[in-house]
Order: sequence, then C-alpha cells, then structure tokens
Amino acid sequence: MAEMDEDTPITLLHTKVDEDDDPSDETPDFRLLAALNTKSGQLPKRGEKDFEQHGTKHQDGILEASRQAMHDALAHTRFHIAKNHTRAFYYGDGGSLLRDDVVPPEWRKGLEDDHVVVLETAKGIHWKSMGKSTTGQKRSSIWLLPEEALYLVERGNLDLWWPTRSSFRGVYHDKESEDTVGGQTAESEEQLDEGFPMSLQAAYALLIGKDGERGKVTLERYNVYTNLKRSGYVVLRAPAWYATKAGEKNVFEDVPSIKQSPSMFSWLFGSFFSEPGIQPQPLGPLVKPGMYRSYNAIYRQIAIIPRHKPAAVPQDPSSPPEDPYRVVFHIWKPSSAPTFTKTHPGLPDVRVAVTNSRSTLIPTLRELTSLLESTPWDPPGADMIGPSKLYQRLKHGWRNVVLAVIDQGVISYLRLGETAFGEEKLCERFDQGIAGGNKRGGGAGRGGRGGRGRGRGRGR
Amino acid sequence: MADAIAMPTSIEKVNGTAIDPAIQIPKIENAAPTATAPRPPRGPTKFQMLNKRYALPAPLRTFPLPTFVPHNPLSLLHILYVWVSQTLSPQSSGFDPLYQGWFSAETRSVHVIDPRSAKALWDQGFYGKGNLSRSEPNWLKAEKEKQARGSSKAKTSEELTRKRRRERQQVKWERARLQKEAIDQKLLEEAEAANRPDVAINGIPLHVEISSVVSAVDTPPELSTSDDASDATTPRGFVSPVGPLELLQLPNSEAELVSLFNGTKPFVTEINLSSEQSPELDGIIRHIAPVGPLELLALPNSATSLVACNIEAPAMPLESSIATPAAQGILGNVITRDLDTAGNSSIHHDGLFLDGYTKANDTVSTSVTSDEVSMASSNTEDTAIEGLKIDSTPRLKRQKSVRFSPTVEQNTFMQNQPPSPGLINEVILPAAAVEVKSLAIKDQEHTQLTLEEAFFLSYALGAISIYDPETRSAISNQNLLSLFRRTSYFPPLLEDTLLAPDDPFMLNYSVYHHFRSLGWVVRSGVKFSVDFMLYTRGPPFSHAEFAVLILPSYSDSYWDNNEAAKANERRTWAWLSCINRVITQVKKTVILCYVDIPRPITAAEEEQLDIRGVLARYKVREFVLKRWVSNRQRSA
Repeated sequence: MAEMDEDTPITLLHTKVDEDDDPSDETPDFRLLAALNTKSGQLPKRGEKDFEQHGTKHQDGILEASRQAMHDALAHTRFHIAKNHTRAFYYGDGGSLLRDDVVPPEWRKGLEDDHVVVLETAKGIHWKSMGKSTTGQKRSSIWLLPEEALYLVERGNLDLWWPTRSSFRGVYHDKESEDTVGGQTAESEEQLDEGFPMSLQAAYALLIGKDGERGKVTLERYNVYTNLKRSGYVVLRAPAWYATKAGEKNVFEDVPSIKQSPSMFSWLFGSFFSEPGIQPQPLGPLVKPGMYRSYNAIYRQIAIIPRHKPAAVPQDPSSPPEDPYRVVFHIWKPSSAPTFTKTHPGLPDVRVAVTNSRSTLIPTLRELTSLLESTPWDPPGADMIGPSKLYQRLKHGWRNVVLAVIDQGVISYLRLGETAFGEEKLCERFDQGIAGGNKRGGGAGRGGRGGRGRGRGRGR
Repeated sequence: MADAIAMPTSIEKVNGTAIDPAIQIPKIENAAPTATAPRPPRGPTKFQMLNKRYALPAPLRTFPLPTFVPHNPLSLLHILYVWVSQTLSPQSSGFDPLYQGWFSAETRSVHVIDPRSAKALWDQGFYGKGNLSRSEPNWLKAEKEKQARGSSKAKTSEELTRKRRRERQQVKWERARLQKEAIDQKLLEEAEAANRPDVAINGIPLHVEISSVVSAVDTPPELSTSDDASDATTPRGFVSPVGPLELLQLPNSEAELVSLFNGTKPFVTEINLSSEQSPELDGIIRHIAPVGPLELLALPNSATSLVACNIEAPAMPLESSIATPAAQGILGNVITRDLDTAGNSSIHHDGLFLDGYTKANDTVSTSVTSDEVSMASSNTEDTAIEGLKIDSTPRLKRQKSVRFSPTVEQNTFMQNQPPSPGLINEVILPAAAVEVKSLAIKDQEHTQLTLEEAFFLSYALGAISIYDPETRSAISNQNLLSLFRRTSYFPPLLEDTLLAPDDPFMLNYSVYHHFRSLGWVVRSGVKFSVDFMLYTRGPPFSHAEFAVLILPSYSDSYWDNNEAAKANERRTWAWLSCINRVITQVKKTVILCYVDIPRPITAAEEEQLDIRGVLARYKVREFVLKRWVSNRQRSA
C-alpha cells in the first residue's frame, strides 16, 4: 500500500460520461480490495450495491467478504522503502526549535513564514511540484509548507522528525558530528543528534491550526488540498492565501476590445427605414401602439432594466475579496503535471476558494463580485461563436472560480461564473425568421437527451 | 382546434420570411395539429405546423419590408409599393381588440376567460397556464378527444405522460419481481442445501429468538423471512403457529371455538407489506376477502400488529390447526373490552357485532394498540409469547387503516387508492360515460396569468387590458402596479400602505422583465424548486436550459445597518446544494440572479419617476452555478 502511487490516474473507473456522474459519490466494492496488490496500482472498481438485506446466505457471504477485504487492507503494514526514504525536520512554533532561531537569514532566503519543514534529502518525484528551494547559497535546501508536509507524511512519503540542534546543519554536512547542546532530553543525548520521529498525530496537531497562525493550515484548506492532490492536480497556494491588507485593490489586465462596425447596408439604409425616435409614455405601455417593421424596434423599447456588461476592466471595481470568499489555491490539471515546473508554473487552470458550509452562508452579491473580479478576464473563446453555442457561452461566462464548499471533510465543488444574459439578445433573432428554434443542433431536440429528468431510479 | 383567434390569414405575408420549411424543429409529442381535415397528399410536416402555429414570438405583429434582392430590380419596386401602402394606411402591431384579463384577488392571478385571448397568449409567447391543464390550456381539447375516440389512443401531453409513467412503473415492477424471484430461488436453494433449514435461513436475530422459544412446540418445516408472506411462488405446506399473530389467534375458550366455527368460510390471513417493499406485489397477490368479523379484526390494525405480521404470517387453513381459534379468541377478548365501552356486549352474532362496532367507530385504525396486544398475551397460558420483544422492533412508518364494508375485495389499501378500485371501474365509470355522451362539453377552463406575466403584457407590451371584476372597468398600469405589489404579500396589504422596494412583486418582476425583454420565454420554475425557467423559443421547441433563482441583494449603502434587510439575504449552503442537485438531475443549469434592491423612496418620488424609472432602479446580475467534479475535469 505504501508504495502504491495514489497520483497515478484512476483509469476506467467511469467510462460512462454523465454530467451528474460523480464517482466519489459511490461506494467502492471493498471485496475488490483483496485483488489489489502493490504492483497493479489500481483502485478497486465499483460493484453492485444491495439496498436491503434479503436473508440469503449468498448476500451474507458477500458482506463478510467485503468486511474481510477491508480489514485486510487496513491491517496491511505500511513502511518506508529505503530507496525512497525521505526524512524531514519540523521547525515550527509547536517545537522547541524555531526556524528563524536555528537557520541564519542567508540560509532561508525566498521562504514564506509558513515554510516550517525542511527536507534532509530530496529523493523522489514530489519535489517537482512541491516545496520551495532556498536561494542565494551554493547548496539550497527544500522547505515545505504545512499542507505539503502533512500530505506527504500521511501518504507515507515523508518521515517527519523532531529536530535536534544539529539536525539542520546535518543537512549540509553529512555525518559531521556535533556537540550536543542542552535543551534536549536525556534520551536524545544518548542517541546523539538523531532526534525523534514524529507521530502522525503530532504532525496533525502541529500543522493544522487556525487561519493566520504561522506554520499551520486550516483543516478545511488542508482537506481541499489533499483531495485535489489525490486527484492528480498540481496545487499551489494562491497569492491571496494570506488575508488582504487594507488598501489593496484588485488588479485588472486591460484587454483590447474589438469594436464591431455596422455593416454597409445597415449604415446606408438603417437610418432611412428605422423607426422614428419614440417618446416613452409615462404610464405605458412601453411599446407605443403603432406599426412596427421589426421586433428589434419593439424590444428596444422594453429594455429598461439595467443589464450587466462584462468588462475586462470593470467600470465600478468592487473592494478586494474578503474571507472566506477569496482564491486560496491555484491548480493545474493532471495533464499538465508532467511538464510543470515550480519556477515557471504559468497560468493556473482553475482557481479555488474554500468555504465551510456550516459556518458560512452563500456569498452575497458584493462578496461574489469581489471574488470574481479577483480572477482574470476569461470570456467565451473562439470555439463558442455562433447561435448554436448560445448555452455554452452563457455557461462559460466571462470570469469564473471554483468554490470548494466543505462540510466536515466532505467537499462539494461548485463552479461559479460571471455571466451576462444581456450579451445574448434572443429578440434579435426574431426578425431573422429563425426564432432560435433548435439550439441543440442536429435536430436532436427533445429526444436527444435521453429521457432527461425521468430516471429517478438510477440504481444508486 | 378551431382557429378562433383573429390571426391574419397568412402568417407568411405578415411575418415576411418567418416560415422556413427547412428549419429543423425538434420532434415533440404535444404538438397540436392545426389541420383537422383529411391530409392533402403532401401536407405540412410537424415542424412546419409548429412553426406556423408559434410564428409570433410575442403578442405583437411586425410588418417588415420585403427583402431586397440585388439581381432582381423588381424587388425594389415591391419594397417601394409595400412601403408606400403601409405609410398611407398604417396598421397596428397590436391585435385589435386587446386581449382581456380579469384580476382575481382570491387566486392572486389574472384570469383570461375568453378563448381567443387564452389561445393567443399561449401561442404568441407562451403566457399563462390553463387552470385544468399542466401548462397549455387544452382541457377542452382533451375532453373532446376522449369523447371522440374512447380511451384507445392518447393524444394530449398529459395523457402521454401518464402512459409513459404507467409503462415505466410496469417495467420497474417487472424488474422488482424478477429480483424477488431470484432471491426466493436463492433462499430455496439454500434451504435445501442446509442441513437444518430453520437456522439456515434466519438472518434476523428476532427470528432466532422466536424460533428458539417456539421450538419446544414444533419445528416449522419452513420459516420464511420474506416480507411477502403470501408469496404464491413458494410452495407452502402446513405451518405450525410460530409467529406472534398465529399464537394470538389461538382460541381461548370453548365458546370462542364455537363462534369461530360459525364462520362460514375459511380465511387466509394475507398481509401484504408492500409499503416496505416494492409495490409490485399489490397487483400480484391473490386476495381472499376476510368476511367474518374476527377475521376483519385480525387484520393488522396498528404498527405493532404490522410488525407482528412482518415476522411471520403464513396461510392458516382453519381446519388444519386446532390451536388457531384461541388466538382469535384473544383478539375477540380485546375487542370485547372495547365494545363494552361502546355499549355493545355481543360478540357471537356476526352481523350485530359488525353493526355495533361500525356504529361505535367508523374507521378503526388503531383500535388494537401494542398495549392491548401485550395485555392479551398476558392473558394466555402460553408463556412463550411473553418472550416476544415487540417494542424492540423498529416501528413501521406508515400505518394502515382498515375500512369496513359489507363486501371487501382487498384487505390492505394504499392511502391514495379508493377503497374498492374495481367497484369504481365497473359501476361508476359507465355511468359517467353515459352522462358525457349525452352532453356537449362546455369549456370549463380558463388561463391563469401570474402577476408578473399580466403586468408585462399590460405595461410593457400593451397587449392585454386587465379588468377589475368589481367595477368591470380596465385598470390603469399605475394602479395595476400598486395592486400587484400589495397583492404579492399575504394577506394583501391595504391600499395606501407604503410599499417597500423589496416587495416580492418588484423582486420577481424585475427579473421577469429582464429576461422577457431579452427575448427569453420565461415560465414558472416552481416544479423545479426555482423561481423561473428560461426557454429559448418555448416549451414545444426545446427544454428549458436555465433555472433562475432570485436572490435579493442589499448592496446599497442605505441597507448597511439594516439587520432585517440583511437577514433577507441569508441562504444556507444546504439550501443551495439541494436546489443545485435537483436542477443537475434534470440536466439544467442554475442561474443565481441577484437583484440589487434600491433604497426606498417616497410615493411622490415614485410618481415622479413613473413606472419606467422605478423599474430602472433594479439592477439584475446573473451568475452561473454548476457542480465541478474534480475527477472529471482532470484532463479536459
């Protein structure tokens, strides 16, 4: 188990692509755990599920086999394999040795305050997308953030230790003996500069904390981090991880907009045939009675509710996002993981904000606007042009963010997009004769979606 | 479908290029064919008929100029001719006379009663809902068709839906039956394979307890844990009384034995516990009607007795068990006690007994409670029953009620079923049919417009005039707005009340107007747990893709310290997840629609702004919400 790389893609788990098909919603068939060995690297497939006991021995047998398989899996001894054994030391506020006391400033250039775990040696594949190397010295060391360290400890890739006075220098001068310094317990002095291995419980206690505590991460963020890591994403902290300082503002990138010039014909004849200017009647109706040549002229008169116009640089920028509705993780899809480098990560694929479903309410308009304005301008692309892509454009939106709503460890991801129906004036199609009849393409229409909304009993 | 509306004779002429035969319109079931005459050799396709019927996207016409064809100089002349003739005698885009609606304070809606208006409002933009139909007002059509063709072929969308549901139900029942059979087969095989069948099958501890208690009496040849005790597929021989119900049915005294033998027919205690299991069993079980009073009383009356039946309720032929009558006597005793209080002491005469009991209590649903059962059991000499732990078993959620009737076809009933479905089919239906045939069907249906629809049609499009049923005069838009805003509260606010800027009508109407003014067809979303559904062209053409959820937003600085207003913004994540899950399940997308509530203004200011200005103060912002499944987004 320890060696099984959880980062490998879980293939063939869900061949059926369904919008509502979330494999994490299902219960795995634990009997198949028994078939799992360290070589295959495959997680068990989902099996059939019984909903009630029907009293057959056969069913009891299945249940017992599942229990046994689960028990066996849990009873498996996990151990570090010498080849990949990586040791690290904890220098956070919870220990007796603090990073800033032990490590001289020139040895910790480029680190954040939260980098509290240092690697002894950097073996393995994880350091391509995790950890931070110090700069300015001939030999750099790799420091980890609390969520990175805890994640690796939990999956058996990292052996976290309490440090001794000598531990840090030990990273650079291999096997160099040091005078033991006071402050350590008697047992450790006997062992000379070896220190103690830290238990998983201790690691949790030291690395999980409240928002803003140095060298710690909140449980919610840690849950989201591990969940995304296990799904194969590259996850880094976003700049907005730390609460925004007063006076900071959202920065907007100006994107040149293309102005559409009216066609020659409409320019020549448009004014000639267009309706004369209409004075609104105070008591309505908004559409002044009379003869109209086009629905455009009719619908122009009833457009009185202000419509949102998405813009790369908003006219009236909102205040910077506040907790919890701000982006804390930048993530890159697993497909880009092989080429990912820490130094040049590029633009993230998705931005993630984390919120607790029990202690927070859904965002207000102000919170949502602030959150979305902190994300880059991302209008519908060139592949979404044309009347048949109406739904795609609206669903894509002009800015977007993923919200991880977490309820005691269960994460529900929601994609929120700033959209603008005002950009899609269906009424303009009324005059073209084809009044937007078939948006699904290919005449699939009603039947094309396969009895939608009917299948209550989907068997799970 | 009588073409009663004042539609122009040819839509093509009115709407220029509106009809394009090549347009592919999705096939739909509830397409109402407009042509009733026998089809010409090449009649219009369904798409064409749909396009023709729903040619107008709004209850307003347009008079476009003919298209200019550059290589055909004559087309210019045509344009000129049309332009000149239209300029000389301009026509109105609105239909004359205006459609009519009647405000109904009781239903808080606007009723459209005349058929011309009702049909036109549906055809031209999908406004309103028939009060006897699911959405399109087609009750009369359905009734006429029903009358014309009997019940052979379903035509209306409602009937088709019902038919589909029946078929689906049938499939589910069939599937459940096969599963059940497979399980029974398995059970049978295992029972045969096992050395000791009584122990082999039991999965439920309660059973083990009972069987061990009762084993002194007899070891049953078969002890089924199946809920469906009356399963006909399982061969069943004589079964000794092992379950609590049978034990309770044992006779207590000689007198009871006699009274029992007075019963004319042997009865089978068939208890169908289909509420716990798949409902398909209802249709399969062969019911034998209990006729005697004791049998009726032996039916499960309470949750406790159901639990008891749940454990074991085999067929119990009267003559095969001498022990049986005693239990009935016990029940009889219990009942006697009840009856004593009701002033009737006779238990021996069937008819009298029944009469008296029926008099005392028409619907007996919980007359035998668990207390009474345990009292009864303590009366008996058989101590084995006392070991029974009824209370520890989980109670069934739904109670069954027993109904008394001189003839009983079934002994269990679904709550939503009539007492004797067969009776209704045979007796009542023919009578109704005769009645229908002798009468011409009068249109009983009217269209209901929601307040938002009505105000949009009246104020924005000017396509309808709304009348006050008391004064029988049209209501001005100004008064209409005030009336609708007051009516949006319950109970409606009195006249002269100062209206808040966030009253439900303004909130809904600003969103409704916003989407309607963009050309979307907006319909109620209450069946999908949201406020509105958005269709691109209308329900007959495609499904709604977007489900709009209205959220008030108090962003204006005026509301900053107003806790009551801020409380209106509060929505929990559980609430939103719930709605999102429902909408995702029906393959639609949630649109969060925030309405920015402006600060309140005085009535005078409002008047100065006029309706247009008041509405323009409401800003609408949309956000699209979608589940993001991390496992699926990995590589795309």
